[in-house]
Amino acid sequence: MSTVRADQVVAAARAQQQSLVMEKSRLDAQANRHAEDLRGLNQEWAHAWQYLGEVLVPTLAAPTLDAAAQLLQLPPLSASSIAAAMGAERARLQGEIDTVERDPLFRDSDVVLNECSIHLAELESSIGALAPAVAEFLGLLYWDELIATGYGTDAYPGKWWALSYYRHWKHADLAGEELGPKYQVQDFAALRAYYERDSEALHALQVSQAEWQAKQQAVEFLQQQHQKASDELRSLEVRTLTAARARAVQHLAALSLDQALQQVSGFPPAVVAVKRLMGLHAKIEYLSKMYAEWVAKPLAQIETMIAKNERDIHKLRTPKHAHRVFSSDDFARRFRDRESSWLKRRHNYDTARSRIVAFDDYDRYDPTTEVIWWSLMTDDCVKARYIPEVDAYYSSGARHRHDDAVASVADEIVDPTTVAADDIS
Amino acid sequence: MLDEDEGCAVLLRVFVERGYRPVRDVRFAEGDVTFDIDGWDAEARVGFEYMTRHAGDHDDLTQEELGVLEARMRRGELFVFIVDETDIADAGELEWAAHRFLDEVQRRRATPEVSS
Repeated sequence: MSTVRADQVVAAARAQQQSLVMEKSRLDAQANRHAEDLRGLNQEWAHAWQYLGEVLVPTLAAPTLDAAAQLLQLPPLSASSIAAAMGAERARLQGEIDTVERDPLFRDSDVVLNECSIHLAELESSIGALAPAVAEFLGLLYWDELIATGYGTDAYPGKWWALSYYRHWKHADLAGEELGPKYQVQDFAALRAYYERDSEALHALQVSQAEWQAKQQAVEFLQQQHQKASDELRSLEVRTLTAARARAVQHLAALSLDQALQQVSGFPPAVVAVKRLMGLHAKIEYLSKMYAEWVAKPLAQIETMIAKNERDIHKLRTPKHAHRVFSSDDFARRFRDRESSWLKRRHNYDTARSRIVAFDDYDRYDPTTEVIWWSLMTDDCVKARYIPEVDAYYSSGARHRHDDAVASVADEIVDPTTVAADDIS
Repeated sequence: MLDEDEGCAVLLRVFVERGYRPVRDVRFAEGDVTFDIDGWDAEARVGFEYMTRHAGDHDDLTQEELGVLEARMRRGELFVFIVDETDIADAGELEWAAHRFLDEVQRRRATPEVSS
């Protein structure tokens, strides 16, 4: 058995790495392009559905709506149903607008809002002047409790044999030390009176502030409500048209595309629109399967080979492995030239992909023949037989039957140049 | 918050400083009032009770019994400093309050402090 040395394997692995890395970068580029293709097709798919809706319901004209309702067997799309729904919505919105307009708060909204602004500004100023004094009291330790228990009043329930009595006493004294000089008072009761005066005044201001804010919000709410209802009333026809189209599309989307094509068969513009959807669906299917077979799979294989070469280049240079020998057959199999098979695969993928992506003659599809989308899109220049539908088509001879049928039709058409020649003779 | 042992230690020290001789954890039984009092000087009839939820003091000394004790304190027959554990901020505050309580006892008896 002939053999090769470890150093020969290392040299071959190094040489192969370069072409593997290049092929990997080509596959990475194809993968990126595939992702872009899918993004574009998904957008086109959404637009195609929207277009189908526009074709089925181009306007809200009664004959148009009745025709769509009959075509789709969808009574809610009929002119009478749509008119009734629009009438009810118009009445609801107009009622809402009328109710708002009758409200005195809305009628005088400018005056009321101005009044609110003036009062709120005044209140904010007064609150701003009073709040710090009240906050100063509330910042004292146990102040809340002293006020709540009525300390400094006859109602204070403290008992001199309980600890809480002394705690209140102590903190009332501390409060007097802290704020007594400021208010020029000597006892807690007088200090408490100042607090009660200020906090009650502050509370009254805050209540008034809340009332004016509520009034301001009520006016703003009415204005928003009026604006919203008016906008909706103005856009009622547009919204109804959009909803009718969505209803039609929703109805067809619940069917398979073959069933949808059958359903709209009496209306040629919609037939073209559904064929476009079928073609886009086929494009997405084909491109995804081509990507899996011609890009993702070889990419994984090449990444494995690159990793193996890197491992061997490192390992076979170590003293332990440097003297190993390998079978020449294994060597030849591992390092054979793959460029031509890669080139063929790339060519097949790029050719099929570019034709599929560029295809836009969706109306050529004829569901009464056996011709599949693949054949139409690629003109049979590539046969991706790993796709079951494609394999079945080319294996069954359907393509040849189709070609024969086309040829026989062509034979029946009299060639004018031939006729002319016969006439001369 | 101080626990019962820490709180009672503070109270015992203050009461002793002020000349009382409270005995820790004795049975108080007079009339309809029966409970284990945390510190009691039977001769001076002055003491303290540290009320904690944990020790079940609120069950031992009921509201009715407390009402009887309070009435007797108003009449000057005895004096018990009632401390609820939730009212205490720290030992210093408890000590300050205990002194003020004993001042009040002294004022109400209108007698000089018991000599140590």
